[in-house]
Amino acid sequence: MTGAAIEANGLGMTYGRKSGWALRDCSFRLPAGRICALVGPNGAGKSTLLALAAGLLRPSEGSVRVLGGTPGEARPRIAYVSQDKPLYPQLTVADTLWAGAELNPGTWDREAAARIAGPLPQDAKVKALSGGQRTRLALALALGKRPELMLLDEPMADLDPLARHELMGLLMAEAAEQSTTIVMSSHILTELEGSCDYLLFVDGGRVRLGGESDDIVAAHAVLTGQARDLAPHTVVESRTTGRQMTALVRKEGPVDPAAWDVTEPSLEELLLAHLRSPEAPALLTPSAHAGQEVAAI
Amino acid sequence: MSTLTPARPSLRGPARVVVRQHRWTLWIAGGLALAAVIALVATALWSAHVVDTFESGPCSAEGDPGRSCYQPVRDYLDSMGALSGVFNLAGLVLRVLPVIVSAFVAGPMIARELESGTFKFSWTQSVSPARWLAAKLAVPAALLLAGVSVLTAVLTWARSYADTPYPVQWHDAPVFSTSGVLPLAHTFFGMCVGALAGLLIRRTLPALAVSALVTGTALTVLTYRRQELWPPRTLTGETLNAKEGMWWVETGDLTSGGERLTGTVCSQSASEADRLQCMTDHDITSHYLDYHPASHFWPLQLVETGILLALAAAAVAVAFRVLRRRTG
Repeated sequence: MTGAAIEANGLGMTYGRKSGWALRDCSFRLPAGRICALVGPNGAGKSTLLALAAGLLRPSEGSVRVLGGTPGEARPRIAYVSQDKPLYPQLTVADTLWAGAELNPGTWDREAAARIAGPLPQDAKVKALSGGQRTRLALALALGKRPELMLLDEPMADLDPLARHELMGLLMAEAAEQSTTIVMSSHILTELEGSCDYLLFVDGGRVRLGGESDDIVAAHAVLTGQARDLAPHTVVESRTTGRQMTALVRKEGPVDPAAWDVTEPSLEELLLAHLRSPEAPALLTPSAHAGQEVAAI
Repeated sequence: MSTLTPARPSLRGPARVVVRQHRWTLWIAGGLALAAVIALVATALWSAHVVDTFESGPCSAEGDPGRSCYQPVRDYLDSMGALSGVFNLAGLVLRVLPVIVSAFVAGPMIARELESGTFKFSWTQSVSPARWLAAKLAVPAALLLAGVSVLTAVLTWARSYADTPYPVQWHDAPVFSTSGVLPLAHTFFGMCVGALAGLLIRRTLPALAVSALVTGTALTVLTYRRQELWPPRTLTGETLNAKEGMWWVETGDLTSGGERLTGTVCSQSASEADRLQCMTDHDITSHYLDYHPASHFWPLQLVETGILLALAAAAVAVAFRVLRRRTG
């Protein structure tokens, strides 16, 4: 699979003249078949990005293409679980699953939905469910749709650790079996780190890091040694204690191992360093560059 | 079973979900409609029975009934008055229905989904926002088409079934608005205004209130202006020979030159001599009356229906446009 699950070009969204830009000048590409962590602080634009990809909003500028078409065209092939898990409160669990089947004729997979929703009381009304139960039901609907792309906005926030572990496992098994692309957002990286092989780091309405998690980590290094000029490397963050200096840099060529003590940063360190240094330039690995597909042909 | 290419969903799925969502409202509305039909039929039959009983007796409501008939005639008129009150009540309900429908479509059906976020559930299944809205219009449209037609037909039949001493005039607003095709046109108009208000306002209570207000105002204005929707006929002469069943639009005086003096210039005169003097002073030679004959019932009904359906179609077109501009 080499197609793009999501490709954004100069994507921008504002909810009104006064509220500023929720997302601005976003260009990236998410290759199909990846499990992508969409991370960033609260208010970074993660939810807006997912809602745009799901076709719930129309971009104020730029464009987003999903599975090779507009989000509207791709609607039957996308599943989306919103942060607030909107479900009809007056319907029962069974009614909600029935509605899923009615609204997704042709694609609905009862067993897949039942695997997730099984433990729920089938005759309980949605409004009587706990937050975690609602999440379970929302995920059941998403999986029952047999989507090619799943957009999950903070999916695990309401779950206890046990349920989180179980549902994450089911999700990953399903994704592996169907080669589903998954985008999961969170402001807590550790929640996703183990499961995801792709990363989109959004901050202040822009994509600041995008690409394979391993490649992004490998592009950076933590250098410790005597304080001196770090050129040609791009400094993301540096701290000097007396004559000793610790710096997180983006490598622009080989690092002299004699001059520096070199270690690889953890993904979390990397993100925290970028959060503390808003002026650090963006980094997109080649596969995350919008327009790649065109260039390859 | 999953297939490779997802089938394009028809309106059936979303429509069934709309019915399931609002099933209690639908049960209650259906029950009330059935109760209304039963009440109307029962009232009509009972009225006919009361009339028969009275007419087979020695008394008559016409002329001087004679001393022994005072009480029977009063009882008869009282009970017929009470029975025609049932028709008036049913007519009132039918006239308020468009406002209720408008408020319900705007608030609980559409704005509540946008306010609470449940629209995201529908829009991210295989149902486009346009189909979601289409289902929300199709379900009430189909049910109201059936329900309002039946209610109108039963009410019209019930009103004319018994030979009541309180006959209704075709042009009285409570009658004209609740006969023919107008109840349907009013209800569709209310529904479409509700859809647009719900989409634009996006909050349940304000949408409900605005929609009810707009629908109520529009229909009230139309009720007061409806005699202008079709050119009236005119009757002129020194004495006007007005007949039963005419809808008086405007009456006044004519000068010898044929000029119209609206209103009643000389009606305030103290005596007949004064009145004649006044007429001479104003050069009034005859009178005129603009009126609608009973044959104008359908032209008036159809023009009003046309206006309302055109407005309703415009509201729906704008609603779909708003939806398309808002979503990807």
